[in-house]
Amino acid sequence: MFSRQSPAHSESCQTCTGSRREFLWEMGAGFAGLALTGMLDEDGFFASQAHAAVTRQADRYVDPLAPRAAHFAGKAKRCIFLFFYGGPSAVDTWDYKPELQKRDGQTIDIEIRRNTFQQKQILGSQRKFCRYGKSGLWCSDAFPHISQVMDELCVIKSLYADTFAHGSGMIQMNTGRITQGYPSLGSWLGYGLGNVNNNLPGYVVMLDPRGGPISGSTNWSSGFMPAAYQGTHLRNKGEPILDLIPKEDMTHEMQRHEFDTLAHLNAKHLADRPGYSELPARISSYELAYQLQSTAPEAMDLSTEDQKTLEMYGLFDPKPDHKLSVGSEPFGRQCLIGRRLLERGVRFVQIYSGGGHQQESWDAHAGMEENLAIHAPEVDRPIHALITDLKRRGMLEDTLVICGGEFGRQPVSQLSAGRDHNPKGFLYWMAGGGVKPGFSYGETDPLGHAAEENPRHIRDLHATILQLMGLDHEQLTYFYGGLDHKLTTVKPAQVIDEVVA
Amino acid sequence: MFYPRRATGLCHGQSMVSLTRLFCLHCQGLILLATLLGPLYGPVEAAGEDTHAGITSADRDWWSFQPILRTKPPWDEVVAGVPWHPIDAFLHQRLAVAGLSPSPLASRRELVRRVYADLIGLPPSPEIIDAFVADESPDAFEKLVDRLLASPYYGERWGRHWLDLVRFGQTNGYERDAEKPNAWRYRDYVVRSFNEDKTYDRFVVEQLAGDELDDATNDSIIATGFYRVGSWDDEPDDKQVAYYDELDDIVRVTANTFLGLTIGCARCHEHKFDPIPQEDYYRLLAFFRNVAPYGRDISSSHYGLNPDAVLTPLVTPTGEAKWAVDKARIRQEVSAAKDKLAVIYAAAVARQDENPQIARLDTLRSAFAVPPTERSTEQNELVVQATANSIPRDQLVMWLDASDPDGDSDPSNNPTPDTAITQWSDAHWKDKTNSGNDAVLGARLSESGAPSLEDSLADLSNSQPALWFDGFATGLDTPLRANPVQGDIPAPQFTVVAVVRAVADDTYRSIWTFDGATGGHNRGLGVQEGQFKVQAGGPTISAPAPAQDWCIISVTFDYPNGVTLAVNDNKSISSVGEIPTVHDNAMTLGYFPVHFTAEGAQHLEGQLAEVLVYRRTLEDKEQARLRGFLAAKYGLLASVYAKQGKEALNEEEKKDVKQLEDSLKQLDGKLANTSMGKALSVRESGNEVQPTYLLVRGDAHSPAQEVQPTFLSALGGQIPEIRKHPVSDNLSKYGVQSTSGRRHALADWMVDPKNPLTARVMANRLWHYHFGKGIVPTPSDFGQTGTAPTHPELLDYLAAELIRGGWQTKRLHRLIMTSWAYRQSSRAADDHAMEIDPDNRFLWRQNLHRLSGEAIRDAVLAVSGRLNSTMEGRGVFPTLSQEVLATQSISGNGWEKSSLAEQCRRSIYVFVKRTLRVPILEAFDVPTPDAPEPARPQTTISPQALILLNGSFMNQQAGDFASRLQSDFPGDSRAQVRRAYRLAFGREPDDEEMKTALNYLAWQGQQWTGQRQAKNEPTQEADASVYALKSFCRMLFNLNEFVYVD
Repeated sequence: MFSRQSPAHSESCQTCTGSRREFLWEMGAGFAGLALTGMLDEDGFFASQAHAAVTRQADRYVDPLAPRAAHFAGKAKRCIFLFFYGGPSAVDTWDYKPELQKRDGQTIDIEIRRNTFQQKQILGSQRKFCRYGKSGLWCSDAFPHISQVMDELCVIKSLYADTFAHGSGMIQMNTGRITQGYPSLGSWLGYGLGNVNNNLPGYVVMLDPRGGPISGSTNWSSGFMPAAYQGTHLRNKGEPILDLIPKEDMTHEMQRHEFDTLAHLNAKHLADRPGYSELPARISSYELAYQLQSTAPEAMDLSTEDQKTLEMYGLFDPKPDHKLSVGSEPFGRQCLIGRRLLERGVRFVQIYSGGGHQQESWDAHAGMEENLAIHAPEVDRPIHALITDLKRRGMLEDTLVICGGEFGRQPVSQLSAGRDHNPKGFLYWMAGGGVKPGFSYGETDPLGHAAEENPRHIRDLHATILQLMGLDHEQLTYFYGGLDHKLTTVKPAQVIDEVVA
Repeated sequence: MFYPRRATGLCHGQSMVSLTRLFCLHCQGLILLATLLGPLYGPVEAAGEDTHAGITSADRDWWSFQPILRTKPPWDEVVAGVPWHPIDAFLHQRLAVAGLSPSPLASRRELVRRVYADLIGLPPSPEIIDAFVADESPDAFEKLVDRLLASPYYGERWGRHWLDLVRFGQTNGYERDAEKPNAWRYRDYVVRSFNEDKTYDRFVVEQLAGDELDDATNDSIIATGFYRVGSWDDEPDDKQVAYYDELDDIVRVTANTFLGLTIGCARCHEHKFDPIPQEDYYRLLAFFRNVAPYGRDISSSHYGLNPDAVLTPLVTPTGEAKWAVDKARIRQEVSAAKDKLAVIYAAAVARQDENPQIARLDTLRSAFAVPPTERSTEQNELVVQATANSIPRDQLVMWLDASDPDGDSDPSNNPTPDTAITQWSDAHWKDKTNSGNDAVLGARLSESGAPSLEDSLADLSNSQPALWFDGFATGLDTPLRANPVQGDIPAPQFTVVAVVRAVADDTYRSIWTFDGATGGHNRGLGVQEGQFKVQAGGPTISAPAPAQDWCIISVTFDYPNGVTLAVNDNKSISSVGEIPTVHDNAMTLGYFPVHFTAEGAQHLEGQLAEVLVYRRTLEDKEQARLRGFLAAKYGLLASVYAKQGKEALNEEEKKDVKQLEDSLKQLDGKLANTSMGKALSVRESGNEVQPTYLLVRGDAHSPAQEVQPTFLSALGGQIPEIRKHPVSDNLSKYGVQSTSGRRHALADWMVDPKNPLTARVMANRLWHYHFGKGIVPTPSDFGQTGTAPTHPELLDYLAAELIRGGWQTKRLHRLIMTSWAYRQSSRAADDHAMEIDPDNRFLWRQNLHRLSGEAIRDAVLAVSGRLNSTMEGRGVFPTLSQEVLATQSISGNGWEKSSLAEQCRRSIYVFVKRTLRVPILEAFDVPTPDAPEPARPQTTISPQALILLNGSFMNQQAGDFASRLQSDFPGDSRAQVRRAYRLAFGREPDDEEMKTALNYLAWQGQQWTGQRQAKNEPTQEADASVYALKSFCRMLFNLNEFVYVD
């Protein structure tokens, strides 16, 4: 009888000794869980924890990309991140620094790499700045078109990050950490909110024709989260998605026949194996794959866009002479595709401007003016068009547009009038999606070197992005290696409330 | 108490220290829970008063910290028809309480497929299945298990599980993502260890302290690659932080892997859930304090790999480094053969009187060969003239000449390279440019940041013998940079000509790098495995580097026209337009590191006689003249003009040459043999261990009190006895130093049978992989954030058995696999059970198993008949599509080409590059190598379907599968289908499936023909059936039955 009693005891213990995650999962998923779930969910605790249990150690198959409720009603439903890879300069674009201009050529002692100070010459901007719109936000003449929509922009001028190097900087901007192995922002959004449209990937990345960013796919990796949350690399040319198109020369009917036969045989297999929800899930994943073959090309097909729209996005602008320039066509096309993807329910689109190394990207060591001459015209019309287009379609208010790089640049000269990396004070702007339009927040010092007024770490930017998307960065956690991981890391982070409308 | 402490107790009645843990953000939810649920489960223990480092007795009561109990199987629990087995006894106890009973045994066919997938990760052949089904002996199953445990495939399957835990990768990650030298040896060690049934305690000790053992072996040193296979940033923002990040990686992975504890949180503060005070973290870190960091400073912002920290020569029992001995012997043979060749060529070249060029050069060579003081006037004149005529002076930015220490204009001091090099000293390094630029040379000190030139030269005699020419730091970038001119940017162009003798090695050694302004160090010229390689942004161009031969190399960079590499007079050219990522105006000759004698140095381990650098591209004619001059000067005519000599060979000489060349080729192969070399390993930083401090909030710049290496407080907190470990004479000969002995002490503690965690954690891991879920479902977290064991007594029984059986893992496999629970059917449909225990926690049936990413790929290869079962070695590079390569900032960088046969090796041999992952593996949940993965998630997403249907690999293999069927049963569709089913699923198709298959073949064939005809393309019936069969094979690979094993 011992054997009957003792396990009974441990049985009851089992429930209370299971980890809180597993316990909550059981409660939430099981019979008696509803009331408790409701109580706990008031602070979103259940949602995040049960969620982790579901995806990492599911006993029953749960679609990792199933749509999930936000923690609260977010102002933005979707997000497009225009990543200026290489690190764009603030003082030549949207941050006018009269003091910098005044002191052009003076020699100062400045931190060039962490704790490494050097005597350098101040490099004033060659750009002309004006105030625009009702808001009177500054914009340089590098962006004659973007300057026309400054009233939509919310400029944050006082961000700082933790690293002077591209490798770790890219990773931090995308994952919150300077070390590899953590999930990227898009993964967090997918994990927190799921997919709306299963016929398209929820997290799409588009790259510059000159190459990928440093560290490549690490930047859109899902880290320790399942691969389902990683970004999908979408291509402009050829196959839009890896292995989307059959290699064999086959007709639509032949392919359908293959899918149907697969489904038929899988159904037979399933009938003999009750209680395994992963089997039907896999069967439906083939249907989704099949759908994707038509939905992805459709989303990328610009033939239904009118001529004016294509022109507005800069698709027909002539390519400038500079050898490294690719003109505004690729980025414009990507922005337009981005808008189409967002319309179709894609949650997060990230477009890289700049690829490869140095002047191929915004990495302007070898000449600030040359760098701007290459890259500014490539993005100027497309970004203007994207904002205008989103607005006229009524999408801007619930679409968050984010623009910036892995860090900014130094106010001093390097090589022949170039600028070195600077993570101590740099600029991002956002638009739409619940941010204050025509608003400027924070300042760097008068030269533009370090964040001075309202300095905010990029953790705060990440927290703000999540907030705008309806997610509390404290509650959006993923349990791994003994810790509830957050995009905003273990260090304190706060939403930049001032920029939220 | 043995049973797990209640979760609700966590936030109540804790000591002061524990209370502080409550005030963290992560805890909020927990406090809430405790408040809500606490009363339901009754009172909680009072706080213990006896604290040790803030650990209360309550903390120590946590279930996994209790001694492993020798639990007895509850034999009373008998289920009719189920033979007694200790594991089943434990399971039945729980099943009975839940009112459940085990399922019937799986069929023999299911079992053999299950055991194959589980133990070796490959499907059984139809013949093996038949034999097993027909084997009526009572121990048929045991024999099957034993046979597979003895198979070398076993280690490849189970070794891969281990690699998940230790974040195994073969590159560093981050911007440059450089290869870790010989990381593959660690992978092979793991595979070998499983295959040898190395006892688990030894396996643990070897990985932690294999170099500190009295009976250290090459294998035990390779084992310490454990420390080195994680990611590593060569350009950290803050080097002090990076140092602690590196140690943090080691501390975490050690605690995770061996102890099942998540200690990382305690880096910054007390662990929020487990009784691990912050001090414990640093005490554990202290065991690793003397581990030499992976990198060494090469500039203020960059690290380079430190060979003295991460490489250990593999030494033979007689005390010699095998690689050194083998290489020396082979090189002797090579050099003897080459001497013979040189004699033959020299004779042939000399006979070429009718070749005026050679004749002239030979006269010049004779002149150079005479000591300057003894030269005739004519000879002197000849040398001076030739020097003046052969060396273009315009745009020459740097000229280093070993034979000319004074730097005067007469470069004729009897310059045989060998004698010149032995006398090489700092005096030889002079700026001999005539361009007036400040190109200078310096010695890079190994410790300091960027040294000033004066310091460098002053310390040259004391410093590492590595000379370092840093053009970027010294301003040479300016003369070599093409300055932008308004509107038009002149292309960067330059030429480097050098007389070098490189050691051909399996490690990449750079001779120089360029484009160093932002660290594009992966562009330049280097030597690896007998090849000179130029990486200039496009595809790597390479040319054979004759081992230990002096040769003349010249590289021209002429953007955008291309890059040329000439070794002697063999030129290779990278095609035009394939240098997409080089941007013209920023081209700099950044670093010119010339390390020529540093033993084990990363850079060129060889010798350098002369270097000329031009800020323009030398024309072919100029290059030829220069090459001829240098060949004469250094007596290299025979090798440089081997091609021309070849034309002059007579028949007999030709035969001799052929023979010598063949033997050279063989010797080259031996030299490239990767078994020679060094182990990626741990090494320590000298005899004096630096003190370890607790870092306030984990901040590397805020040290607080000093701590000593001490075991975890919750497990007793003993202070270990530490004995310094003297290094063996064998290794000290090669510069390896003695070690602190700290890691050995830690390792011994890990595998002390009294340690309650190590055996439990490993026993649970084995269970986890066999059943798809551990008894503790969080295999690397036995703390409070983990999940409690479903069957704690069983877990203890298994852990005790593991220790009792001398830590032999194969024995434990046998124990687990012979249980009814393991062998029972996964397909049982028991409505009652499904309602009570839908997650199958109590194992009322076996779980259905999805093949891992590796196993899917391997099964496809096995079924197609293409599997190449070669073991070990550096690894293979499956062909990746251009689209995948394009995600890199330099497309294709660091991804090589493997032959088709090589690509068909098992997935564990696929090269693990951190920033470029193989899609089919990644999509099927093969974890990122950046983070340990104790329990892979199993996701199902549509990209998996796309890869399996449309991927090149799958289509290639489907074609091979079809060919296999076609050649076995030509023209017999029925037989082909039957065979296909047997190969893919281990069973015959039933009638309905056969009908479906035949219809499929017929319909697809027809459609294919129709489609071809519509396009007016000629077709044959045979083509249609080939197409249809291939399509059918691809479909089989995609079926659930292929990727799920019952």
